[in-house]
Amino acid sequence: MAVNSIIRLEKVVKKYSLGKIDLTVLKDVDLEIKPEIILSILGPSGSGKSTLLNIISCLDIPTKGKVYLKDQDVSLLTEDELAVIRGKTIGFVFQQFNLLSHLTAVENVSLPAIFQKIPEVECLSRAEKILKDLGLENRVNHRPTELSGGEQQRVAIARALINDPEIVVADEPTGNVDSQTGTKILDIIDELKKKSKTVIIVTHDLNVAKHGDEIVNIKDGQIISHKKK
Amino acid sequence: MLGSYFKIAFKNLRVRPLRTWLTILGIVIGVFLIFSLLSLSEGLKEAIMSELRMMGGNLIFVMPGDMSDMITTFIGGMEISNSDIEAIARAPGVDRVITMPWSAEVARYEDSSKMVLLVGSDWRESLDVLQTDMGWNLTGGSWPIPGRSEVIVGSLVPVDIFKGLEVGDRLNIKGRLFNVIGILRSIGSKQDDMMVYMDLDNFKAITGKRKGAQAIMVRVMDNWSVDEVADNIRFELEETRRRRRDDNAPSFSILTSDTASDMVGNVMGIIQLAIVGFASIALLVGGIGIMNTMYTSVYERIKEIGILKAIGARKSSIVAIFLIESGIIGLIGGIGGIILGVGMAKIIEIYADIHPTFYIRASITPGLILFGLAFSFGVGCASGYFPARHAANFKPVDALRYE
Repeated sequence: MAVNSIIRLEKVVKKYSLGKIDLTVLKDVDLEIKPEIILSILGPSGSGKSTLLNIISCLDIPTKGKVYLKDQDVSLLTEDELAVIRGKTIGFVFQQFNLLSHLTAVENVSLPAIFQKIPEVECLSRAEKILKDLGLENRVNHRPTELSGGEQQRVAIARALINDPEIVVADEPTGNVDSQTGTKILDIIDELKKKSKTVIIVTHDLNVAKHGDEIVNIKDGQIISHKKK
Repeated sequence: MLGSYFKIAFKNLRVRPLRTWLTILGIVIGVFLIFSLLSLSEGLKEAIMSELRMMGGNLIFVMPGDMSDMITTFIGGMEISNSDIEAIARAPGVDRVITMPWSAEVARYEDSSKMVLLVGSDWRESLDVLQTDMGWNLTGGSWPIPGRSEVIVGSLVPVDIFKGLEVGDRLNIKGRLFNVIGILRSIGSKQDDMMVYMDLDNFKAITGKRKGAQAIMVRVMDNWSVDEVADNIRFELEETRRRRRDDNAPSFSILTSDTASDMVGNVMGIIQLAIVGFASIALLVGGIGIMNTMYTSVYERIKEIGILKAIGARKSSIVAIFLIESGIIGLIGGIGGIILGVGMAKIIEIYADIHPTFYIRASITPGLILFGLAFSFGVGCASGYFPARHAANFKPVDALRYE
């Protein structure tokens, strides 16, 4: 059976307990994401877009509803099974870069491959190649503190790509860089689509969201629009 | 993969070097205590055992008092009486009974007067037993001739008591002159090597001790089992007491080389157990230090744990990294403790050589070193286990949100 969507959410509800109060962050969200597109999730602060991204990227599981990744119901998987999926299928790019400060760029990039039990030599050679592709060949052995914001974000992208995942999720990827660097980051994201990756971007910036082939607008935990170009 | 985890763990530990080194210090102290005490007690055990091994397999020792209360026996001046000696000689299988009473007396050599321990022995009966069964040898001179005013001295007498004493010199003991006819090779214990040995008749004349002895050495006849003869001696001694109806006669102990070895083995085993027990408390404190450090580290690195989980680290990977970190702390602490422990044991060994109390050699075997390393690594891992589990159980989404 051909896979029409790479990710599918059915009636997803996510609640958080704050003491005796239950806070519903996502309310019956249905979403279908096709492969090899850039999908932007747009919404203001507190709209539930990051929670939605966490569920899409298998970082969190829904309180109710189903999440399918390539037709596999991931809401039933254990934490370790989800970790394997995250490592193999999903690459993460965070707003704060989230690089480990005591490791060099190449070591940071090689980490996801190490967790997939790939021999260290291969992890490092892969990491060096990706860093070179992203124009960081002279920054391979630099620590994050020795890199600019843009360089750090490119290292984070390299880390997201090392296991050649089908999906790349980016949470406010341009949020911590200047506009010029932001443009470069978005160019890299465009390149990823050309390499048959599915890219999901969470942003509150309409200009960034416009890079997407599809834009999902979320407000108060509900999808209010899903526009396709 | 494990190699990569080790590299990550090393780098993590280097982020907070002072805390890491202080935690390592806690383990160093614990391992140092265990290692130095164990190596010394093992050395002590070997020294005693080698001394016992020198005691011939066909010899039996009979001593007054109970072996479990040696202090009372010696302080109380308990002795085997003449009638007991006769009873021992009557026991079937006994080839020869040798008494070796001792007494502390002042001896004079040139201008120096020192208290020495004199041992009397009937050379006619004992010389061949001492040579063949006890392995006595001379480094210089010759064996004494029974009845003559001659003494042989332990190997440490010319070294520690009368420096420069040589074969042919004379010792003045209670106004009588004795020729130093021979110098013994080390017998095995420092006390024995510092004694002066003379013919029994001379000993009696000097000390006035004419009856009994503090210990009896019995040689077993060929073709007799040592245990059987020991039983015969016990029977004869008990019979003597029954016949005499002498309730005040001191109890006695019969010791063969096997029973002595077992006894020493048991006693040293208990001592070593106690040493390990007490020293383990120090190591336990070190272990708690590791646990504290690792818990602190876990709480400081919640976000890092979230990142690792987000990029595909399983629970087992997180546990492994934290366990390796704590194991490395334990292992480095172990290496430091072993180095210091060896140093301390060697210092004590040198001190014991200079100050003659007892031969003590630190027994440092590859097995003990491996045990020390494995034990300290184990303590590190065990101490890091709960913090590691704690770290592994963080939900990635919660950990990533942590600031």
